[in-house]
This record gives sequence, structure tokens and C-alpha cells, in this order.
Amino acid sequence: MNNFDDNRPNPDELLASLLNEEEKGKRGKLKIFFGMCAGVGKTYSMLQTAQAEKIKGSEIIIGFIETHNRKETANLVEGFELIPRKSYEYKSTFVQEMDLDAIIARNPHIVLVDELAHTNAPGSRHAKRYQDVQELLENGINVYTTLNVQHLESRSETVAQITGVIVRETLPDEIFESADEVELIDLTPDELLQRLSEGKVYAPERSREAVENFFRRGNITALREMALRIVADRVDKQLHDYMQHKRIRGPWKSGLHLLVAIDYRQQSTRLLRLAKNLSYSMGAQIQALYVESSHKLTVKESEQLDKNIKLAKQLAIKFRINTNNDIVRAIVEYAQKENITHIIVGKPRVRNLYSVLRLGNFVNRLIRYSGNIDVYILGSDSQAKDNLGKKVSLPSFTSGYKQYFTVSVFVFLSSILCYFVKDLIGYQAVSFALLFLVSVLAIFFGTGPILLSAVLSALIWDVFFIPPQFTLHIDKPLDVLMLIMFFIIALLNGILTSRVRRQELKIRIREERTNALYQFTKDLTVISGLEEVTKVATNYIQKYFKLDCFIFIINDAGTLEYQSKHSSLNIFSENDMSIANWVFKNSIKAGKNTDTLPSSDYTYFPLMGNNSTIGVVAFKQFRVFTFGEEQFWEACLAQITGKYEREMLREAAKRTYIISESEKLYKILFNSLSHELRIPVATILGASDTLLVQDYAEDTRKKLYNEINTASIRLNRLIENLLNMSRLESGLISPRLDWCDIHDLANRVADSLQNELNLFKLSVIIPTNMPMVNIDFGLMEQVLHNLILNATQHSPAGSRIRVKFFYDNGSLTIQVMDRGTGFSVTEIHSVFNKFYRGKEAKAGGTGLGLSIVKGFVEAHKGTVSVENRQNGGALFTIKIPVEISDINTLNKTND
Amino acid sequence: MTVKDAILIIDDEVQIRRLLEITLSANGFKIIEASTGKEGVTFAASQQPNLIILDLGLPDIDGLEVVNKLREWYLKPIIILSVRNSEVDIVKALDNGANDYLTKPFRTGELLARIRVALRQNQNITENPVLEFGSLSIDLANHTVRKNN
Repeated sequence: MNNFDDNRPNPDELLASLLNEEEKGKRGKLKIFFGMCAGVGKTYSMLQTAQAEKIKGSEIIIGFIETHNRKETANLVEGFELIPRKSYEYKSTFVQEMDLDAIIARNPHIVLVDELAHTNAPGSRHAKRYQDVQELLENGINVYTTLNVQHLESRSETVAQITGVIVRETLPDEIFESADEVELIDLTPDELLQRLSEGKVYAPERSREAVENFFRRGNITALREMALRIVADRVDKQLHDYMQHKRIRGPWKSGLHLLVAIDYRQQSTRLLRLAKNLSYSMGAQIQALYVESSHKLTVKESEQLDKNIKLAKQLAIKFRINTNNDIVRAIVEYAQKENITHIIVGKPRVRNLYSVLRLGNFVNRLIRYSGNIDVYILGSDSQAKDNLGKKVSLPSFTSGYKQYFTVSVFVFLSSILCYFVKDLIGYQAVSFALLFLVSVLAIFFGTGPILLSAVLSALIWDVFFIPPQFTLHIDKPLDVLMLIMFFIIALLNGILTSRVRRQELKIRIREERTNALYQFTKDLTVISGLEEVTKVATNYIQKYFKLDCFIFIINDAGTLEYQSKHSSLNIFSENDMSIANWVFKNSIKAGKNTDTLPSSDYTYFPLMGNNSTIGVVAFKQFRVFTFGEEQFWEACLAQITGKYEREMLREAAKRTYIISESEKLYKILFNSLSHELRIPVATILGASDTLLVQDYAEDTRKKLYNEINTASIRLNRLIENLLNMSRLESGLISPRLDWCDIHDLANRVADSLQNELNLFKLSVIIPTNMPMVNIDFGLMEQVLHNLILNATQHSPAGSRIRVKFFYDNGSLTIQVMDRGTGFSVTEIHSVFNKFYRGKEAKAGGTGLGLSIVKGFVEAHKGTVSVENRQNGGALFTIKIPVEISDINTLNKTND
Repeated sequence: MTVKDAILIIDDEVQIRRLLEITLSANGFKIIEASTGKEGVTFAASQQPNLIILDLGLPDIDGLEVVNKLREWYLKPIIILSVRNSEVDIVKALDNGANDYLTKPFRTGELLARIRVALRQNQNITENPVLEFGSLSIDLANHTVRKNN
């Protein structure tokens, strides 16, 4: 990195600072009164500050204050509104805790909450008070709180070493780091001791005890130094942030980046804390790495590993797992990839020659490979008990009895087989056969069974094959050597194979998870609809996690809605539902196996989308997820959430589309209707007005009356059409079939359209043998009327309009042909749609005529179609199934 | 009002055209009818009507467009007669060069009065088609410009 880069604010950091500001605007602000130990006056200072704020007019209430019966403190409490504590029954005694919901409901400007690191009584919503405080902040309430240095997670161990007191109530450093303000309450050790001796901190007899144990001058000084240093580091960081924020060019912290390599031992916790402290003082970024090798973890080890990982998270250290049998190589490769400047490893404890060799090897190789990366080796803690130290790290026996039995059977069977052929192949060849068997078994069975098979086969070979037979005794020294070699080879073979197998298994599990995730993503992409997503997601979780889950998604009303329809929700109580709602609101996992409401039956995870939380998934978790499982689980949830989000967006888009479409339709309808209504009304008004105002000659008057008449007919037709449409819409059309003559029908329509047809040549073609047909005369008249009117409106004046009727085999066909413009390919499918008007259509018309035609024809169970004629114009064809009257046909033909 | 002032009606609605024809011819106007914008522009050029009554909702070109086209050379009154009754439409039409605007339905008396007004105002202009600015004279009718004669 060159100097130029050093002097330039990193864009990512700038963005992060902006985002921080934005995020903080909504959240409440956290102010911590920070001290080196009890008795320095944190609570007192907090109350004093609060008094001052109150005088300025802020609304301040007390959420939880511990006065420790100190008089000055108790005096300051007076005058503040106090939220009563909530009682929890725990093991038949009552414990009082802060009433979180009451404070949120009260919604003050500032709330005072003493002792941030406090652990809540079982039964409270959150395990820790700092979680309560987080929730208060989320709700936009500002919080004043107090904290002692020994409660900081990263310092608790050091404090334990200095004072000998193990601190159980710890606070993740992240909380402290994210505080908006930290006020250091400092007192010199002498003053503190003075206060103690005056009984201002504890009652006199407790004071003496305290001074002898905890409050030794040396302790106090060390704690004070620690507190001062932390606050100084914080100020330093703030300055850095400030300069970054104000774009001040200055000595930026170098891009130091620490990597701490941890393992499954308890030592790693100390390593993590030390590394974190180091990163503080160096102003460096930090991440942790665990290298998974073929070493099979015992239950205790994997528990410790999970603890270590959890600690790393609490210390706000980014955590990674890599798989590699060569730990050194894995560390160095990772460090190079991530531009790590310092690698921090713990010094393994030297227990025996093997570990000496291993340590030397490990450290030497790390130093050799790490190149320009600095390597820090932190000493092991002689006081911390390595309670895992005594375990044998080589084989672990987790195979079932079945496996032991099976390998024994294999060994015995092959031995018996060999026994029969031993004269043929010689007893020495038998050893190879058995060796082969052990090797093969190693592929399929665990370490334990392989050890057994090695021992068994060695014994059998000795007793039954090596002369003298049926004794353990061996004559030839060569055979002794052979037996020893046989045993060692069998053993090594078996163990090495099973080791490879374990490694392979781990990789396979990862691969399976990756594949499963890939498959899941693929499955999700092809489905659509929230319900489908729920179904696939539920099945998937059932398949890969063996968990029955309930998925709740936010609906339009802003409440959570249970998704799946097949399984009932009866088992989900109101209380469970309220937890789900809490998780949704706060976007934090809760329930069983979490820090929040751990006593509930279910575990709840929020489904956090890009912009907001979109739902909650709840399930009965029978055991805590391992780190790998949790990663897998979170990846799945991310997929599910993403899919839900996309689906919700899609549905929203669809809704908007429908709304905009119906708005468009409404506009079209409104425009055409208003036009259609206004023209005849304008005519009637204009004509009648003319008649009223002025005296005109007789023929002018007649013309005007005629116009009024035509316009009225037109209005009437429009109203008819609208009424017919609404009848069709409501499904009230049922044709009243009656015998009718097609000639009548054609004449009636031609008459009613006399005016319009003036300019056209109409030819009606009816075959002479046309029978009487059974149709609804009124409806068909309207159909024909609309079709012919349509033809007149779209054809040039003087052109011919043909209407052709014929009957064939139970169906009546009516064709209306014109020489108009026809329809373009794109719109020919839409001509029967309601309110559809041709692009080339003349002004006027509602777009209802043809849709009414279609409706009425369909009411007759017939069909209507349209096509363009070859030499221009449109051809409408109607086919209706009809009954005919034979008698009438006969009569007709007889005429 | 001179005898037989010619009025061009551009409207796609037969019924409206017929109504106007009956009423206006009864009041002594000579009526020319056009059902499309293009037809209207052609007739305006060929028949030189004294006034044009124009509908905005025409099947081929929008009425506003017709006004613009006519106003390139046609200086006599144009009265818009349309179902569109929003202020925006009215302002647009007037700004584009129309002399007056009536909405359908209309009253015949009012229409006649407005026709009379338009024709009266136009007389002043048409009787003096030569504009003079000092030594410069512009003859609008003959499309000629003279300086110092």
C-alpha cells in the first residue's frame, strides 16, 4: 500500500459512516456511564446527568435503578417517574426485573437502566439486560445505563487473572462499541478506598471483606488503568471516525488486519480475547479462522468449539471455517487471500515428546510459509485448566455394537475359509488374506471395529495358523516378526483409511449441503405464488433439517399470516403467536435455544429481506444447531426470504397492473359513453332550441323534428345496448325460444336501420327452402342490428353489405359481409372484447355492440367468429344450433 | 352580414352536421360539409369559406392539428364546436388560433350570435388587408411586401 492510498478516505468507510448516521437517526441513543468497579459513583453520576436533562425539559423516567441503599443516590432518585418492576416467579420465589413492555408503552424520551451487564431472571423475555436495552433503543427510546470494566467480554478473563474473581455477567464488546456516548466515571484508588472505609459503598462489615478480597489497591489500579485505556481507545477511534466523516486528511490508521487461528480447546477463548484487545490497541481489523481437519471431535470438543465460535461472534470478530488436513497451509493460504498482516496463534501446551515435535513443526512451518505476514504466538495460560487435555486424541469409539459384531463375523468367516485352504496356500499366505480383509473393512467401518478386526485376525492367525497350532506360542522367530508386522500394518492401515474416510465424510456433508442448497434454489426458481413457495420451503426444511416448520408472512394488512393451508395451526397458541410477532417486529431470533424467551416451545427466526422483515419461521428445535448447520440454515432462510420477496413484489406489480388496466378501461368507457350520449343529446337540444327560439319555415321544422327523432332512436339504442350488456354481465340472459321466420328478422332489422343503410347497398340472401327456426327473436334482432350497423360504420359509402342466412344440419348460419377496412391481425382477436374499439374506428361508438353480439349468440349456445375477406372487408359468421319445424318447411316449399 | 356567407362545417358526426346544416341554412348561410380533417382543410382551401366550425374529435387528424394547418394561411374565424369541455382543451384550442369555443350540447341562438360576432370582427381585418409600418406596407391578401411603394 502506498502513501497516496493511506491518505485517502476509503469510499466504503465513508458510505458506512453515512449509513451509520442514517440508522442512528431512527434508533434511540445509548449513553454508558463507565467505571472501573463498583462504588465509583456511576449510578450517582447517571442520576445527576438525568436531573440536569430534566431541568432542560427532557422527559426522563427510571426503568431500573439499584441504589444499593446509598443515601445520596436514593435522594437523587426522588422526583423521577418510576416504572414498577415486574415480578417473575422462579423456583417458588419472586424475582423482580425491569418491566420492558411498560417502558416501551410509556415511550419516554430517556429511560435510566442501571447495570447493563445484568442477567435477567429465567422467564424474562431476554436472557440479558443489554438485550432489553437493545429493544428499547430499537423503539426509539434513549437509554442511560451503567457498566463496569470487568463486565466487558474481552476483559473478563484478564480481570479474573488480576483479581481472582471470575466474572459471570459479561457484555458483548459490540454493545459497548456501538454506544453513542461513553462517560468515564473515574476516582483515584485512594478516594475509592476512602469511600469504602466510610461505608458509602457497602455496609461496614461487607466493606472490610470487600477491601480484603476485591478492592486491593493493586487490583483497583489495574482495573482503573484498563478502564482508562478502553475509553482512550474509544476516543481515538471516534477521532478517526470524525476525521473520516469530515474528510480530514490525517494519519489514518494503517490497514492492519489480524487473523486469529483457533481450535476446539478452551485456550482459544483466551486467545480470542487477547487478539481482540490487540486489535483494539492496534486499531486493526480482526477475523478468526478454524481449520477443520480429519481429527474427529468428541462431544465435549465440539461443544467447546461452538462456544469458541459464539465468543468470536460476541467479540464482534468475523469468523470462518476452512477444511484442510494441513492446518498451517490452510491458515497461510487464507491469510494471503484476505490480506492479513498478522497471524495470531496460541502456543500449544507441551505435554510429551510428540507434542514437542508437533509444536516445533507447527511453529516452524507457520513461520516458514507465512512470508511477509507477522506471526504472533501467544503463550498458553498456565492457570486455565485444560480439562480436555487428558483425553486420548487418537481413536474415538463411536461405532455401534452392530459394527463390532459385523466385523467379527467377517473375520471369523474368512478365517474359517482360510483354515480349509491353508494346506493349499500355506499359513503365511493366510496373513495376507487377513490383512487384505482388514484393509477392506477399514473402508466401511469406524476406527473401533477396525482395531478389533486387527487384533482378532492377529490372534486367530497366531492360534490357528502359525505352528504350533492351537497355542499362542510361536516357534520360529520369523513368525513372531511376521505377527508383529501383521498387527502393525493392520492397525495403521485401518486407522489411516478411516481417517481419510472421516475427512471425506466432512467434505461430503458440505458438498451435500451445497448441492441441497443449489437444488433448493433451482426448485424455488421454477415455482410461483406464495403458497407454492411455502410448500416447497416447508418440504425442504422437513427433508434436510428434519424439522416441521410454520411460516408466517406479512399480509397486506401488515399482520403475520400463517401460510400453509394443509396443516392446522391449532397447536400454535396465542402466546406463541405473540412471540412470532415480537420476532417479526424486532427482527431477532427468539424462542428455544436462543437468548430471548428461551422457555418457549418453538424457535423463531425472522425472515429478513432486503428492505424489511417479511415474515417469521417457527419450528420445534430438538437440539442446538452446530455452526455448520446454522450457516446452512441461514443460507436456506436467505433463499426462502429472497423468493418470498420476489413473489410479493410480483404480486404487487400484478395488482398495480390490474388497477391501472381497470382505470384505463374506465377512462375509455367514460370517454366513449360521454361522446355517445352527448351527440344525440346535442342534436335534440340544438334542434328543439332552434324550434323554440325562432319561427322557421315548415320544411325546416320538419327536418328538425326528424333530427330529434333520429337522435332519440340513437339514444334509445345506446341505452338498450347498456342494458343488454348489464343483463349479460349479471348472467340474466336466457333466450326465450320461439318459432320465427328469417325473412321477418331480416326485414325488421333493415327497417330499423333505414337511415344508416341509405348510403349502402344491402343484399339479404335467404335460400328458398329456409325453414322456420327456434330462436329468441328479440335477441337475434339485436345481434343482426349490431352487426349491420357495425358494417355501415366501417365501410365506405356506396359499398355493398351482404347478409346471408342458411340452414344446415341442425345449425343456423348467419354471415354479414362488408367491404370496409377489415381488421388488422393484431386487433382481430379483440373485436368482441367489451369496450374494445378498433384503432381506425371513427369517433363515436361505445365498443359494446360486438361484445353484445357475442353474448347473445353464446346465450343461444352458438358461436361467432370474424375474418377478413380476401378482397377487403370483414366477414362475421354466426352459427347457432336450432330446431326446425318440418311442417313449416313443407308449407314453405309448397308455396 | 352579407348574403350567403359560406360556412364550412368539419365534423365527423352526420347528425350534428345535419342539424347545423338545417339551422344555419335556415338563417341564410351557405353550408359546406366535411367529415374528416383532411377533407376540411381541402375544402377550406378550395371553397374559401368565411367561417369554419370545427369539431376537435376527428377520425383522421386531431382538431388542434387542423387549426394549426388552417392558420398557416387561413385568417378568417374558426369556431370550435366540441364535446371536450375541459379548460385545458379550451385554452389550447384558443391559443392555437381558434377564435371561439363552444361545447356540445350547444344552443342554436348562442351559436348564431357567436358566428355573427366572429364575422363582424373579421370584416375589419379583411377590409384592410394591407398593414403599414412607416414606409413599409404588407399586403396580406396578395402576400406582397412593399417599401416606399
